[in-house]
Amino acid sequence: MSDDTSVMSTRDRLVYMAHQIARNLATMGEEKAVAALAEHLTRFWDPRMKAQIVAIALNQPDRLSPSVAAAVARMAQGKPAPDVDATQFNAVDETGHCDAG
Amino acid sequence: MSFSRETDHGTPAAIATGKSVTLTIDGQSVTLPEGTSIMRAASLSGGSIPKLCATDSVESFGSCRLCLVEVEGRNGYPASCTTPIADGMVVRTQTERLKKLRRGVMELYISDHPLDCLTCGANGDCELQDQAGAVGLRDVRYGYDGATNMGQAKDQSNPYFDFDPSKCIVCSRCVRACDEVQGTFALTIEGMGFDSKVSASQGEGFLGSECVSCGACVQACPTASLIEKKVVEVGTPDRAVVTTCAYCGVGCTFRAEMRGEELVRMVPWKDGKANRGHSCVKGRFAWGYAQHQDRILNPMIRASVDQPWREVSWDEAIAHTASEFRRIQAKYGTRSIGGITSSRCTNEETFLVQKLIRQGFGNNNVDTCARVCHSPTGYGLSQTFGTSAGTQDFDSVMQADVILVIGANPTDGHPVFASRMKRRLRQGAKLIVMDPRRTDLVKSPHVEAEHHLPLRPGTNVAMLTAMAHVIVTEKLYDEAFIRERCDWDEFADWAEFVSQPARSPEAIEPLTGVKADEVRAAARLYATGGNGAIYYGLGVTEHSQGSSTVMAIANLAMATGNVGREGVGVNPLRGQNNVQGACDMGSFPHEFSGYRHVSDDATRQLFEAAWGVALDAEPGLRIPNMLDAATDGTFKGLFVQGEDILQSDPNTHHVAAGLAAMECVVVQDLFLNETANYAHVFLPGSTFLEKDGTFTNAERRIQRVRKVMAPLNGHADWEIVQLVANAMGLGWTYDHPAQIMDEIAALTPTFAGVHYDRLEAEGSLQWPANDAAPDGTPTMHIDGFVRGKGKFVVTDYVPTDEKTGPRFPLLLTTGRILSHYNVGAQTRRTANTAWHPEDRLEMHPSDAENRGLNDGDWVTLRSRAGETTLRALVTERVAPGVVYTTFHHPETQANVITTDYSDWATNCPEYKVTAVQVMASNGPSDWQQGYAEQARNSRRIAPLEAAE
Repeated sequence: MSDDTSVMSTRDRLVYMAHQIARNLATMGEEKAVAALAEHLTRFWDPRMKAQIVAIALNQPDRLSPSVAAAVARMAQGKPAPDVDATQFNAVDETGHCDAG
Repeated sequence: MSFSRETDHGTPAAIATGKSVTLTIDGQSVTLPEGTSIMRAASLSGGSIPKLCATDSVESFGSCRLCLVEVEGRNGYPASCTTPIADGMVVRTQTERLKKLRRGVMELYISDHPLDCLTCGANGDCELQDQAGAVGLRDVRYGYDGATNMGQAKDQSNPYFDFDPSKCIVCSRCVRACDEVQGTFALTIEGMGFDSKVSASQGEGFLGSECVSCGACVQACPTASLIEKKVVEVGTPDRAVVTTCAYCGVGCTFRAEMRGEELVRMVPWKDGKANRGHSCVKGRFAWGYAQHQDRILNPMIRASVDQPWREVSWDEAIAHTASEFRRIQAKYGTRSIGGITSSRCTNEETFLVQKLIRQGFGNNNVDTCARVCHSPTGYGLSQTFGTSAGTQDFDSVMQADVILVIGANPTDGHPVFASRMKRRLRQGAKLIVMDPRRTDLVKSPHVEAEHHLPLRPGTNVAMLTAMAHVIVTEKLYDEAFIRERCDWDEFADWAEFVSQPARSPEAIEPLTGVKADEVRAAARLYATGGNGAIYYGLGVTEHSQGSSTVMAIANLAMATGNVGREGVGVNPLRGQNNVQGACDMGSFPHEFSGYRHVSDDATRQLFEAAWGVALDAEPGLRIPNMLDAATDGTFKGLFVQGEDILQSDPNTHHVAAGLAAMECVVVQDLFLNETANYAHVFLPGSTFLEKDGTFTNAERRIQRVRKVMAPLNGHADWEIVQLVANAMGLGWTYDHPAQIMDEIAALTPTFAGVHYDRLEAEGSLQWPANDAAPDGTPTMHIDGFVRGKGKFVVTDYVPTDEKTGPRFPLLLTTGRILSHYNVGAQTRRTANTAWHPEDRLEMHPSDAENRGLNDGDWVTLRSRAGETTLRALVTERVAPGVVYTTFHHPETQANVITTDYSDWATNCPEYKVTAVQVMASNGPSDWQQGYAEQARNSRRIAPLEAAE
């Protein structure tokens, strides 16, 4: 964000969000981080957000880092890795999991 | 209808030793816990010993000499309040000698007390009056002509209660309540002997003193010396209903004491397990908003937001709402509308709103205010422990030896719990405060933090990782706990990460600004000081690394074995009264009640079977994403119950643009709030006094909300949602919230055992409450973590992208103050404005001096997102380089300053880090003046004749 403006377009914001998530997952190592990001997008992003990031990957591939692009591709294929470390909490059980409090 | 006070046993319950003793009181054999006073023993066995200076909320004092008793084999007449029971003791509480002694004592009290009982506000509710009767006082031998303390001026400065020194008997109950219950130490007895009198601070009026107006003194006063103005105005109550406060996540329970349909006072309920008979200024006194003239009581609609509102019938408003939502969906698609549930509404109402959206709207576009407060708590604790809630009950703090408070200001935000915490600190527990501000907990009467870590905003993860570095490298971790309860390999990976020199306190000192030695000492204390309990607030969550910080906290607790028993744990202090419940009820766009993902086929089929429709398996939009989609033109309609996103959510310009882009915004609220400036339909809401339901507090404690008066708007909020649902063809048939809770229980495993009859019987239940835990779960993770093995997560410090620089050299952090609540919609409509009439900008004297600013000056506060003006408060509570303000007043609109940066995992806004500049100003900015004008126009209501 520059000093001149705080307004991001939705597409800019989605690109920013995807990379922000990726930065926070990076310590997992490339392979796990890609899987975890794909899983995160699948589970928390609304269909129109998913469609927009996929469109960006297709039409403006330079805007996505290799790991984010790989995660978006993986999400688009509908094959998020189940039970990756970062997303085990999303398994369904009686006592529950959520992203909010 | 009858009214009775709660029984006062005179002295508190004895500290449990497990031993009991048997004695005889007035010929009756009694067995009670060791340490019990004779006074309490007599009360518990059905008797009553006269008393004045004793009340069971404070320790015995032994000053009034009215409670004298005879004990066989002992000389004299010991005070029953200060004398503990003993095995074989024989006590007589009613003898001729005792009567004479007590009558003599009462004569002395009454000789210096106004005899205006018939016109006194406490007539019929006065312990002095009662005790005079109890001892058979008929005359005062000394007459009334001597020197007295009568005729002294009243202190009426406090907006809620009066202090009349003429009626004071100097029993010190108020002073002790302030000390022991509230922990503020604002009151004292000034002077000696006949001149003794109660004094607030250094002889100031109550309003100007350090008194926080919690009301504990008023409740403790046995006369009318300290009395609620409302009691004086209305009279004493004639009935009482126990209900739950609608402020903050502590969840205090109160007796709403009524006179007919009029609320006279709120008295904290002694049996309330969250508050144990205590309250704060908001819960006890700040309920006048319920009858405030600003309340909107009739539904209103308008075609566009530049038009005045038009009052309509409920039928027309509901039909219009349903019609508009269906029209929008027909034109823009099923996912073009959504809704926001309210953390100020009941569990049942919240459940119905998300049901309306999932069943009626056919999508998952539902979110709630937890998005902007504790969403990272859910994410972080789910990752590490497996459940999205705090681990303890509030009582647990009394077993803590070291208390680590991170990014929380409980004396302002959660004052009743803070009083309990301070009591434990006075007993000797150690305190570590990690906060950029020098909050009251850092140093206040009889409480002082061992370590204050005033870290630079945005560096929480670096700081917590440095503490972990000390714990691991100095081998202070609990290996046995980790090996038994956690994944050892994950611990090893985490330990290797935190042990790296780059994570050491010395290495991160330039980032955090905190001396490495202080960090090391704090880490050692937490790891080795006994039971370590962590309490945290929005200073943890409202960051771009909020979720990482929560996980870093959980890592520390697991590494030191501080999980799974009383006195320890990880405890998020929740903001709004029912934010826990709103989350539990499925208010998030990706999960059903009980935190089950919408993509899970089995769960979805359970709800589909119950609700008779196919449900969307894709997650919906979060609030900020709804606003983005609105500006993109794909999201056109919003139902907002009891939230004011225009004032509370970040980057006001963005929120306004999103709302303005929608074709139908429906606001259901008590008042025409800021969001309603952009609304097309207004559905008047009901207060917590006007409906039945339940709230769930920060302890996961589910408590009843009980209707004490009829809703002024004609409908409880759950009824209004049902009207909308049925207008959309859903065919709901709820007659009472109990039926909604039955549905919740049937569909939510953690609530399976929660039904109104159980709540009536138990008073409250802490979830999980089901077959596995029939009586609920006060402490989580006792035998193992919910997720199985506790998970250590490596939390790398990723600095925020919000940077200071030459144009914006200061860091703004926002928060709240004791007297106000959230956006202030309720508290601004009470006399609480006496303490905080406007938002002020706290800044360090050096920053003020550098800008030529003085305390009270108007200043412009500018960020990359926007600017506003407010007055400066020059104080050393904030560190140099940091400024702070509250967001309670729409005239300030603090969120015009905050940015769109948010937590990486949950989009919780980064309220706590905004780069700003501060400069002198002459008054409100152009934007503020324009906003005020727009708000005035938007709130116009067309006269009825013009509307017809």
